[in-house]
Amino acid sequence: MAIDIKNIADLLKKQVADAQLSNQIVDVGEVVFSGDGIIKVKGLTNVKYYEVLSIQNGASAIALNLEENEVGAVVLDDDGSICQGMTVKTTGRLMSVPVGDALLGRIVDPLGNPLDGKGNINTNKYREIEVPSASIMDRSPVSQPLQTGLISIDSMIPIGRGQRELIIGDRQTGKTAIAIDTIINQKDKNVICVYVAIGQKSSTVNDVAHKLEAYGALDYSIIVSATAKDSAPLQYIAPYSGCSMAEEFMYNGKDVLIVYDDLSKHAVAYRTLSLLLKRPAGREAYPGDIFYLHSRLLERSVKLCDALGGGSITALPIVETQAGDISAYIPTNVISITDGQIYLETELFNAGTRPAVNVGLSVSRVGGSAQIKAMRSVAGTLRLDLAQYRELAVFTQFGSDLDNVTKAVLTHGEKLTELLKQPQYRPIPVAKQVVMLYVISLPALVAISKKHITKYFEEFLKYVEETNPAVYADIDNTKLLSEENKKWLGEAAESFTKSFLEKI
Amino acid sequence: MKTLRVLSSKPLSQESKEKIEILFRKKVEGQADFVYEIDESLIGGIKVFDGSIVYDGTISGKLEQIKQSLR
Repeated sequence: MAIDIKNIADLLKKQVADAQLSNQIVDVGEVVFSGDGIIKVKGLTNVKYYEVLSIQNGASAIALNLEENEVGAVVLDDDGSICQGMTVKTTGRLMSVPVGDALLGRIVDPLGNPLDGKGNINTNKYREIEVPSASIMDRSPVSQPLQTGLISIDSMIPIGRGQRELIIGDRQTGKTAIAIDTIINQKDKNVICVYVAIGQKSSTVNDVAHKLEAYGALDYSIIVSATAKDSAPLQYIAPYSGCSMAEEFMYNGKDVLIVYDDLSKHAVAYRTLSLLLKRPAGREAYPGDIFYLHSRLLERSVKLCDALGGGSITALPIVETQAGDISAYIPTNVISITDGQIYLETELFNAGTRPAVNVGLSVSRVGGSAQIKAMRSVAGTLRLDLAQYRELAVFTQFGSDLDNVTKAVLTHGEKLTELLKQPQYRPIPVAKQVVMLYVISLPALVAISKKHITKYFEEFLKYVEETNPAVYADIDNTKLLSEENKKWLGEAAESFTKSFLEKI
Repeated sequence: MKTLRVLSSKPLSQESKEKIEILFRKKVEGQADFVYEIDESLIGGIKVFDGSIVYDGTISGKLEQIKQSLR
C-alpha cells in the first residue's frame, strides 16, 4: 500500500513538473440566460463560430449564435448547475474528438468518453469534427466493391467503397438489420466499421453491440452512441464525431464503412437546437440549413486518390419514412445527396420477403463498376427477369390457364424471389452468390419447385465446397467465372438435381 | 477611449506600472486608461482585463492549468 501511494505521489510530481504552463489569453463572458441546454453569454467579443467554450461549472459548450450583443451556445454536458452570472471562457479550439486505433472495439459517446466500462481511451490523437471534405482533385472514382453479404443487394444494388447508399423505409422494415449484416460481413476484409447511433433507444444500441460482439465484428468496429436520453447537442454532433473517427483511418489508407442510424432523428435534434436558439423555422419547422446539415456530413464519404493513400469511407445513412412517404422533406433531401437508395417496404416484409428490398425503386448510381466481373455477368439479367415477373405476377391470382411462356416467366420469377430471401446474420460470401445466381438460371433447375429452392441451394453450396472448392477460390482470386468452372457447375447441377429430387 | 483593469496580488511599483502601460498601449491601438486593483487570491503575477479579453499571467492561473491537466 505504502509503495502504491509513493508511486502515485511520484507520478503526480512528474506530471506537474512536465506540465507546459503559459500565460493565457482568454475571452471571458458571463451567462445571462441558461435553460433547455442553451446558454446566452454577454462578453466574448472575439469568440469564433463553433469554438468550444468552458463554463465555470466545468461543462463545455459550442458557440453557435454570434450576435451583436450576445453569444448563443449549446451546452454539451449540462448537469443543470449552470446559473446566471457564471463565467464562460473561450478555449481557442474548435470541437474535436479523440481518434485512432485505441477506439476500435469500444463504445463511446460523441465526445469520445467510453460508455462500455472497459477503461479509458488511451490516445493522443485528436481531430476536429467539422472539417471540409476532400477536394475534387483528391478524389478518385469508386471501383472496388463493398460486399454486404446480402445477395439481393450485392447483385442488383451493388455498393462500392466510397459510395453513399441510403437505406430508407418505414419503421421495423429491417434497415438496421441490413447495416449490421454488412458490418458482420466485413470480417477479414480489411474494412473498419463505425456505427453511429443517433437518438435510438439504449436497449437497441445494447442489442447491436452484443450482436456485433457475438459475430466477432466488434474488434474492427467503433460504436458512437448518442441515445434518446442524451441532449440534443450531443445527438447533433454524433455523426460528425463518427465521421472524424472514420477519417483518421481513411487518411491513413484504410477503407472504412460508416452507418448513420438514423438521420431522421439527427434532423429532429438539429431542429430542437435551432428552435431553442430562436433561428427562423422553415418547412415542417426545420431550420433553413437542414439540407446543409446532411450534405456536409455525407460529402465527407469519399474515395481518395492513390496519391493520398487510396483510402475510402462508404456511408450507409438510414432514414425512416412515415407510411412509405419518400417524398417528405428529409427523405427527399437525403435521397438527392446520396448515390442511390435501398428502399425497404413494409408489405414485402410482412409477406416474408426479407430483406424487404423493393428492387424496382432501389438504385445504386455506381452500379456495375462496384461489382466483380463474375457478379456482373451473372446478375445482368436479374433485374429484368424480376421486373417481368412483377408485371405478370397479378395473373397468378386468377388461377387462369396461362400459356407456357408466361408460366415460365412466373415460375422463374418466383424462384428468384425465393433465392433472394436471406435470414439475418447469415451473410453470403460473393463467390457463393455468383454460383447461386449462375446455377439458378440453368435448365437443370426447372425441375426444382419454389418451395425447395432454399434447401436445394443450402445443400448444393455445401456439395460444391466438398467436391470442388477450387470454384470458390477461382472466383475470389480471378474475380471471374471461368468457362471451365461454368461447365463443371452445369454438370454438377444436373447430377445433384437428380439425387435431390430422389430424396424428396 | 478604453479602460483596462490590472489586477495584482500586491501593489505594483511605478516601474512595473510603466512597463505594463507601454506593452498594452501597443496591443490596444488607441488611447487606454489603466485602473489598478489588488486581489490577493492571485498569489503572484498580474491579470489584465481588456473588455472581454483576459490576459492571465498569474500563479493562480497556472495552478488552475495544472488542475485541468491532472483531470
